[in-house]
Amino acid sequence: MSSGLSERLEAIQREVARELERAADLSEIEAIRVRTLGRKGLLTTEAKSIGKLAAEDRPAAGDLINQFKSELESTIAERERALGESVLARRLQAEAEDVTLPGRRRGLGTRHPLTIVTEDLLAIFRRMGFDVARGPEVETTWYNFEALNIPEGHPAREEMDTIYVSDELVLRTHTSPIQIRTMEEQPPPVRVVCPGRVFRSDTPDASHSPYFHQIEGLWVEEGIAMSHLKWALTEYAREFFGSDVELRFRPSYFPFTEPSAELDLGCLFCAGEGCRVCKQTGWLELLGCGMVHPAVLEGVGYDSERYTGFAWGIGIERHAMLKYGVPDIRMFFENDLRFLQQFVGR
Amino acid sequence: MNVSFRWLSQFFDDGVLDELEPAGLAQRLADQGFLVDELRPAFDPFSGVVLGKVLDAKAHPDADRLTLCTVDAGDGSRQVVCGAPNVEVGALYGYAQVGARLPGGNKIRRAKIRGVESDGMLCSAPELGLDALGSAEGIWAIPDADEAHLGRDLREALELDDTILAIDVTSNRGDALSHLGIAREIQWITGKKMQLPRVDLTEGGRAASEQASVQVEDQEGCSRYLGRVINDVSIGPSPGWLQTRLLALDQRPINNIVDVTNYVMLEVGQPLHAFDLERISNGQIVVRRAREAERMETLDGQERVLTSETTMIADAREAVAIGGVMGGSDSEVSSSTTEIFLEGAHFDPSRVGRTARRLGLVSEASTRFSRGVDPEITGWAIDRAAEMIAQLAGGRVAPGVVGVGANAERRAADDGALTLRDQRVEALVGYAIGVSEITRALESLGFDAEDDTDGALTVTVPSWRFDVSREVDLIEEVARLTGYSRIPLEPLPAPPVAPEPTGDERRATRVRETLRAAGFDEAQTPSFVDAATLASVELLDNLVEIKNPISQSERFLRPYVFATLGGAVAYNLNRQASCVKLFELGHAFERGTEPQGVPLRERRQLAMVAAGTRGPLDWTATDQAEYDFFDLKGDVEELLTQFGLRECIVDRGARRFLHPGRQAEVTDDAGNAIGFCGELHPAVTASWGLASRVFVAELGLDALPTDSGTLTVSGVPKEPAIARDLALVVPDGETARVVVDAVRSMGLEDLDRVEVFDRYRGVQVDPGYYSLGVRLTFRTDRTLTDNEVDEQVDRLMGHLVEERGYQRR
Ligand SMILES: [Zn+2]
Repeated sequence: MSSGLSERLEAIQREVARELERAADLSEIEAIRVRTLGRKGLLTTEAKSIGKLAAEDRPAAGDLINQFKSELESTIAERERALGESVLARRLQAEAEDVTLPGRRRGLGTRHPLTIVTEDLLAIFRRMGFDVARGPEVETTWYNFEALNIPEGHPAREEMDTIYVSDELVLRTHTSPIQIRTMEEQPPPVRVVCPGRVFRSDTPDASHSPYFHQIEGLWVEEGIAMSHLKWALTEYAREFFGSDVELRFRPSYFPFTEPSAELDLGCLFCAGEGCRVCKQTGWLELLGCGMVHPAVLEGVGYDSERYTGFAWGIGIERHAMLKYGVPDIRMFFENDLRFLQQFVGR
Repeated sequence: MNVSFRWLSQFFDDGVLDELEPAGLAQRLADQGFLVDELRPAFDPFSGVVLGKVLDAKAHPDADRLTLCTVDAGDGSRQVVCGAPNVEVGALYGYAQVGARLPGGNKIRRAKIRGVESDGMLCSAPELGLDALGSAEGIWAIPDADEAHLGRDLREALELDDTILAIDVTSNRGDALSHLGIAREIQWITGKKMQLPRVDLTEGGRAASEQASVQVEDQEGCSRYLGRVINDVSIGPSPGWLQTRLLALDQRPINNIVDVTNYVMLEVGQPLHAFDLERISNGQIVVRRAREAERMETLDGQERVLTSETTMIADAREAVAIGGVMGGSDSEVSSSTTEIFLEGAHFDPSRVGRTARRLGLVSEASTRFSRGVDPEITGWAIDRAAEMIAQLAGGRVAPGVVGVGANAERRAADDGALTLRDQRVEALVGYAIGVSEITRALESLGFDAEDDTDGALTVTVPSWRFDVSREVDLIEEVARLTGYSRIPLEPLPAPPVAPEPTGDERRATRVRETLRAAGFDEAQTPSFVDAATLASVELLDNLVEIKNPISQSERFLRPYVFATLGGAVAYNLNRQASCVKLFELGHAFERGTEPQGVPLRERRQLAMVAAGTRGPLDWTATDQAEYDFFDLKGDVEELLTQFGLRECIVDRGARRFLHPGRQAEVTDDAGNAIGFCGELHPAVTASWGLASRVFVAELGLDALPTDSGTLTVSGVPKEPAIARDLALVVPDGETARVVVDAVRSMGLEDLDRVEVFDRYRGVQVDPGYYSLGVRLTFRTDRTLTDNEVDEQVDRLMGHLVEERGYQRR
């Protein structure tokens, strides 16, 4: 073996170690690699010089060079990995954010509280088996009154505070006309709930608005009795207001139902003790209902001896006011963002 | 209807109602269909006030305005100093003894007034909480008080300890607008029969028929008209007990004649009217229809214009009253009246109702007539009133009744008895109620029920229950008396198919979800809009006008939803909101166009209105960006995309309420117009008092598909795409849509997508031109080379330069 190869290789190794020590970034390390291991690098030059050695010395010299070469390769790679890690660490540190700053948001809108309540109620009634139907807000007096057993001159008609568009057209005072339209279109059984906006000629105040919303329901089928009405409305009231509510069915009067009832809810604010909201009665008037008047069934050509049914009407605003503690019905129509935005996520 | 617990009690034997107490009675009445809205004491509480008589009055030695009164309160006399100017020796007063407590809590103490000892106080009416009965200026001499009762507690003497029940009487139960009507209902509660007071009428003098006559020409309007004559009355105040009883029921005492008519009306529900007989020409009453536009002055001093629908009471010369509504001022009972003609009649309910509403004269009387009065009670009522007038006003009741319809026809339903099947009761109510209980319930209300052995009852309806005409009405009576609380709960039968949300609902839900995610809040705004708003947006054609608007200004139905939604945006901007984005799903209205067709068209619309910043405060942005036209267009486009509608916002529109250069029409897939989007015209926002720009969009909801249809996916491309960006210099006025269409229309074989990425106007482009950056993406089912793509781009540019005059920048 020629003297000096080993020393030269060790010198290269020491030099590389020194250079690697000084290298500040990955490109310098790459330069070191090219200078030592590259095609024109120091080790390549040494390898080429093997041909000048005696034949018997060549294998040993080759082995030595390969040994140094692999050592250098791993030394450089090791340094490269270490430097890479520290460079990344520095970058990550430099990129650190104050995560407590707000995110970039588009702002989330909300459903109107009346929509929320309507959809909740429709879901409850759909589970019971009711379909949903809608109809026009401007109705003929026939659909709004006559078909509902409210002929001209009837006190209920005169006292309904109807808003008229013409002698024959009114802004519907209830969504009951949809019930008539539905029955006209199909034979019994009929199971339908009718949501929508309705109108009365009321001067606005904390509890009155000339426009408000209702859901009315109708179920007509053979064998339907008041006991079904009581079951259905008890189920709905418990689902909407909670399973522990007190309920009272109380006789009342509507021209289109007979017998008629009003459903009262035990006051949610005083547990029946009496307070300002329930006018000291312990009860809140919730809705009107009853068995469909035979004259209404006969008017759409149903056999009122064979088919019976029940109907009811719910005021959406009243439900929303009770459920969310809204003190003034006008808030629903002012659309103050500070009011509406409280319903985000509901 | 307000009723007095004390008065109700008088329809029953002593003590029958006392067991129930007012609260218990209210509860039972509510269960029976007569909701009691309120229970309140008839009068404010006070104590220690007794009936005292002034025996002597002399001036106070040291004060001109004070009087020294000697008062007898049944147990010897005492001295009371009184400051009132109207002390009357011999009169009876409310005497507050030392220790008495007046309404409001004032306690009476022994006092020295200007050196003279005063042993209590004489009270004015307001000091006793009886404001309507006398002024605060003087003490209240109690009319017709009984000297035998000196020293008696005033609350007892005037029957002030009473509870008023404010009962919500449903509009079908005109018969229950009286104490008699409520007492009838109470028979079921107590199980005891009620009694009407006995009437013992003493008649004397000239017969009524010699002094007055009645002729009914309008028999449709007046089925019964009875009159009595009372001679030689003295008009004066009613006795204290009568005044306080009326006052407790919100009737202002007038005089001893009018008060009696009101009393009897409250007692049995029959409105009565008293005329001054000497003001009735010839004593001749004619009941006729009013002539068209006939005029008369009612006793409130107003001149009324009548129509032929109105039933008039006239004398030989002129009209003296509007039947069932109001008397005339000429024939009114006055302080000098001595001869009374007392009218008890039965007028047509709907004609009275319409007349009263038309004239704005809805009164206790007209309300009762319009809801129906028992035709059988009229005779009893005028006898009762005549008797009371004779007692209280010292008159003499002339023998006999003048009138028409003494045996008023009973309605058909009353004659033809109704059949009630007990199994029908069960079918409707949901559980079995025995025949004996059914019978007992009906008979407690005055129905007559006979078992006819076929499992059915034959029921006769009493004259006052004109609301009962078929079997179901009887079932309601039975159901409400036996109690709704007894009805069991029965689950509904399950329908064969479980309901699903309808297409309409799914569509509405999708609109709401999309717009919520885009930061829009849902609003609900009025359906009415005022003329000024409509004028500001120049939407004045085919408006639907309300006949009886609540306010004169808001008398139109909104022709677009944005017209009212804009108001909500203005409301919020005026309250410092920085970012307002609202939408509403609602109905809009316009008059139909065909002269013979539907007079009105109702559309379901979606409106969006936005103003202010693009979103919440953003600290990452140097400037808080304002919402602009392209924000709106983007929001609308994303919404339309949700419904499968792409590139449906087409060229500029010409709506006058929008910025002429910033508005676009929206179409459906087939190119039919379905709405618009744009910036509100600055003149409109200015007239709404707003400084910010406002952006509006409105679409016909029905134009959006309810279902998204079926989808079959295509494969995902495997080959890479090659993109080329072109900056095209095009003439002003050449819209982006035209440029993009021009690129597409070349039909380059491998062109996949064309997108706008930039628009530039400025110094680097000649005046009259602008630069539009267009990104072309090429892709096909094999790997494209740059050369192939460049060749296509060159071909395109050649065409655009040649045919359209564009340049590449
Ligand atoms: Zn309460």
